[in-house]
Amino acid sequence: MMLQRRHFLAASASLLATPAVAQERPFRIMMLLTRGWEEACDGFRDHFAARRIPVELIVRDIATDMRLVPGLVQEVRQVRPDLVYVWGTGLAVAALGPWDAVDPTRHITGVPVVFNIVTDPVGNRLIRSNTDPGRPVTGTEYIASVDVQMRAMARYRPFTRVATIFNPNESNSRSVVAQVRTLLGNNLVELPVALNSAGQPDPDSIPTALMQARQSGVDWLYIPPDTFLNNHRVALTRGALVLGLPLFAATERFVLFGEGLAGLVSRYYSVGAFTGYKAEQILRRGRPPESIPVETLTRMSYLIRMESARHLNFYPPVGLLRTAETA
Amino acid sequence: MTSDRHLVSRVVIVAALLLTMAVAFVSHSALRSFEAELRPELEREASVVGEIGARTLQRAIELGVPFGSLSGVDEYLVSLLTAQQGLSYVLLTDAVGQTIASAGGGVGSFSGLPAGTLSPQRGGALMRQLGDSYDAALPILEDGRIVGWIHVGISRARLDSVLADMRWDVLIVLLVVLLATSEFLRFSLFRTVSAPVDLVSRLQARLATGDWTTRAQDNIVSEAGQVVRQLNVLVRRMNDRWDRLRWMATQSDAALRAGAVLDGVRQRLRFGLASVQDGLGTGAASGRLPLFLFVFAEQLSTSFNPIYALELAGGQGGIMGAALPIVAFVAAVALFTPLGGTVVARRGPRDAMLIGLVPAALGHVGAAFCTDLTTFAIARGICGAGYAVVTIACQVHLAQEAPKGRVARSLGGFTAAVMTGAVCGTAIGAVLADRVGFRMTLTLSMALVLVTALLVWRTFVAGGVTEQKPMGLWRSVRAAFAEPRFVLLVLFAAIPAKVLLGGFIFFLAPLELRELGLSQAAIGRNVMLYGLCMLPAIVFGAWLTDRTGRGGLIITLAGVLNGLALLLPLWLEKDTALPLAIIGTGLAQGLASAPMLAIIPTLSSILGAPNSAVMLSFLRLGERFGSVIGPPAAAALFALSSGQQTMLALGVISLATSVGYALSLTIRKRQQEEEV
Repeated sequence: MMLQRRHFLAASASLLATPAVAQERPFRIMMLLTRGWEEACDGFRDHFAARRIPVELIVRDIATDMRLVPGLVQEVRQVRPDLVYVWGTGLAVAALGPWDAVDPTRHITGVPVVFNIVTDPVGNRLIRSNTDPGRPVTGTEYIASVDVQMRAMARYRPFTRVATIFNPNESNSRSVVAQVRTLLGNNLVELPVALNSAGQPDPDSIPTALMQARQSGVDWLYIPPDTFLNNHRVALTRGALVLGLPLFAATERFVLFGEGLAGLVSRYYSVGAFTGYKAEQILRRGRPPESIPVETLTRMSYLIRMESARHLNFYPPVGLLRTAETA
Repeated sequence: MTSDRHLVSRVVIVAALLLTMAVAFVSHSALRSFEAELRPELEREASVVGEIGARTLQRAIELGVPFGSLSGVDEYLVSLLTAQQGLSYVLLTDAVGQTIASAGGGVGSFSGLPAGTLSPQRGGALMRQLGDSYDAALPILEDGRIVGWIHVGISRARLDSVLADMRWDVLIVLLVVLLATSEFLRFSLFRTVSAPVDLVSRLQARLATGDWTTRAQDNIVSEAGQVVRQLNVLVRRMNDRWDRLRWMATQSDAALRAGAVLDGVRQRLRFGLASVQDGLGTGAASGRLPLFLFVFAEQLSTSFNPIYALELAGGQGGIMGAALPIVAFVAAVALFTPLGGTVVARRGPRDAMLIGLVPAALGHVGAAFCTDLTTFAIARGICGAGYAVVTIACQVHLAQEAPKGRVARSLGGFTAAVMTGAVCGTAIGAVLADRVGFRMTLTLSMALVLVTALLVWRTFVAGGVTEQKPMGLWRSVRAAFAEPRFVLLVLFAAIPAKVLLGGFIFFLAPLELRELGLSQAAIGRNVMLYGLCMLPAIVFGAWLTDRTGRGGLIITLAGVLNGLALLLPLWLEKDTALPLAIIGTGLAQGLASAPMLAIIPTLSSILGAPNSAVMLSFLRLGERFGSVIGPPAAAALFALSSGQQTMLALGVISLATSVGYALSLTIRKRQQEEEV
C-alpha cells in the first residue's frame, strides 16, 4: 500500500516538472516525509514545475514511525540522490543528527540536504546557526518567533494568563514551550499530554488537559508546533470550543483543518515553495548548502476561523479583520 | 524738471494701480475657481477615507460580527485618522446618530444623522458642512438595513491654509511685478520723456540767452525728438540767415554802417554751429535699471545657493560646505571693493561697469556648469569680484549724475534699486529654480548680466567722467581714515547697521520665528517685511536728507529706532515683538541708507581726501565687515544666553553706537567752532 502511494506521487511529480532547458537527466530528489504528503510538499514540487526544472522525486513516508529512520538513511546512502528533502523536526533530528556530532553510520552524509517544517533548527542542533549552518544542510523555518506570536495573540485580545498543551516527547514542542515560558513566566500554565505505559502520548488525556486549562482561568490556549496534537487536532480544537477556550495555534492545520480560533502561521504551501527555491540554489546554481542561510518567510498569515469566533462570542477587533485571512 | 518728475511719478502710479487692479481681479477669480476645485477634492478625500472605513466595518459584519459586538473600533478609527492628513475626526454612530466610537479632536460641533436617514443615491457618501469641517457619512448595513454611519470630517482649515498661502504667493508676485514694472517704466520714461524734455529745455534756455551755436542730438525717437529736430532746423536757418546777412552787408553800399550794426548784434547773440551736439546724457535715473537687472540676476540664486552646494558636495560637505559659496562670494566682494573704487576712479563708471560685468557673467556660467563644490565656490567668488566693481561703479555714477541738492535722493536710488532687485530676484529665483532647475536659473542670471552690459554700453555716456584724484590704495586708506567724520560714519553707523542686518535679520530672526512654530513660508514672509519696509524708508530718508541737510541727525535717529525695535521683547510678547522688530530694522536701515551715502561726496571734496569712488568703496568695505561679523557675533551671543537676550544685546549695541555717533559729531562740531 505504501509503495503504491510512493510510486504515484513520484510519477505525478515528474509529469508536472516539464523540462525546458538542456539538462542531462532530471535532478533526483529523495523526499523523506514524517506524516505523508501535504501542502508543504505541494509547494516544494510546484516550485520546480513553475521554474520548469526537471526533477525526479523519490518519496518516502515514515508515517510518524521513527523506527523506520535507519532504513531510510541506508537507502539514501545506496541511492545517492542529488538532494535529500527532510520534512519535520523529529525526522530531521533523527536522520541528520547534531551538526557537530554527525555519526556517518546513523546519519545522512555526503548528500546536500534541505529541511522543511522544522522548528528551532539551532536549538535542536541541526545547524550551527541560521546564517552559517556549519554543514551541508540548509532549509527553512516556518514558525514565527514566539514573541511575535504572543503579540499577535494580544492584538486579537490582550491577555494575562495562557495555557499550553503539548507532547513532551517532541523536541519541537518542548523548544517552543520553553521560549513561551521565558516570555510569560508564571503566567504560562504548562499542560503536557500524559504518556502511557509505553512512554507514548495518550490521546485520551487531551480532554483532561483541556479541562485543566479551563479551570485555571486562562485567557488563551496556545498550541505549539506538535505532530501528535496535529494528528488529534479535531478532538483538541472541538474540545476547546466546547469549553469556551479560545485556541491560538502556531501552525495552520489547527485552524484550517480544525476548529481552532486563530493563529499566526506560515502557509505550508508557501514554505514548501521557499524550500524549493533553496534546493534550486543547490542543484541549479551549485551553491554549497552550508553557504545558504536558513530563513523564514517574511510574511506570515493571521488566520481566524470566524465560525469559532461566533461560537465563542469572541470576535476579533475590526482593525485585525482588515489584514487577517478568515477561514 | 519738476513737471517731468511728476509726469513720471503719475505714469508709474497709474500703471501700478492698473496692474494691481488687473492682478487683483485675476487673482480673485483664480482663487475662487481654485476654492471651487479644491473643495470637491477635499470632500473626495473624506469620502475615500469613509469608504475604506465603511468597507472594513461592513466586512466584519459580513463575516458574522454583529454591529453591536464590533470590537477595537476606537483603535481602528484612530488608525484611519492618522493615515490621512487634514482629517479633523472619524467616528461611528448608530442608526439614530448616537456616537459609538470616535477619534480626533474636531468632534465638538458634530451632530449625528437623524434616524431614518436614507443611504445616498448611487452609493458614495452623504456630504454636509458641519462648522469648520466637511462631513462625509457612509452607511453601515446589517441584513440590508442601516445600523450605523461612519463619519469622516475634513477640516476647512487646510483649504483656508492653502488659500492663504496662495494669496501670499499672489501678493509676492504682484509686488515683484510692480517693483520691476516701476523700474522699467522709470528707465523708459527717462529715456523717452524726461531726458528729451530736459534737452529741449536746455536748448530753449540757450536760445533765450542768444546762444545759437549748439544743436541737439537729433536721433531721439519720441514726440520731444520732433521738437528737438525743429529747434535744430531753426538754429541752422538762423545761422544761415546770419551768414547771408553778413555777406549781404559786405556787398551793400553802406557796408561800413551795416557792419557796425552787425557787430552790435554779435555782441548780444552768438552764432556758428559747435562741433559737439548736446545729448540726452546718462542721467541718474537711467543708472537704476542696469543696477536693478544686475542685482536681480545676482539674487536669482540666493534662495538655493546652500542647497545647490549641498547637492554638489554629495552630502560630504556638511553645513560648512553649504556656507562655503556664500563665504566665497562675501569675501570676494569685500576684497574687490577697494579695487573697484580704484578702477572706477581711473576708467570712469561706464568702463568700470563693463569690466565688472565680465567676471559676473563668467561666474554665473561657472556656477551653472560646475561639477563640484570647490568649482562652485570659485565661481561664486568670481561673481563677488564682479559684484564689487559693478556696485561701486553704479554708486559713483549716481553720485556724479545727481542734480545739485538731490545727492541723497539720487544715492538713495542706488539702495532702492539694489533692494528692489534683491526682493524681486530672490522671489522669482525660487520659483524659477523650482520649475527649470538650478543650472538653468544660473544660466538665466548670466543672460541677464549680458542684457545689463548691453544697456550700460548703449545708455551710459562713453568714457564716463573720471575724477582727477588718483592716489595709491594705501595713501587712499590713510587719507580717508584721516578724516574723523568718515571714521565716525564707518565705526558708529555703517558697521553696526550691517552687524544688526546680518545678526538679526539673516540669522536670529529666522531661528526665533521657527521657535514660534511658523512654517518656512511664513518665516520667509516675515523676513521679507524687512525689504518691504526698507524701500519706502529709503525714499523718505533721502527726501528728508535733501530737504533738511541733517544727514548725521537722521543716521542717529535711525540707529535709535533700530535699537528700540530690538528692545521690544521687553514690553511685548515674542510673536508680536519679532515682526515689529523686523519692520523697525527695515525702516531704520532704510532711513539711514541715503544720508550715509550722501555724506561721501561732501567728505570727498575736502582737500586731501580721496575721490568719492574710493571713499564709497571704503564705506562699503566697512559694511561688508559688519555683514561678515554679524551672524557669528549673534550666534556666539545666542550660545551664551538665549534668542531674546541676543536681540536685546543687539538693540543695546545699536542704541550705544547711535548715541556715540551723535555725541562724537557734536563734540567735533564744537571743536571746529572753537577753532574758528
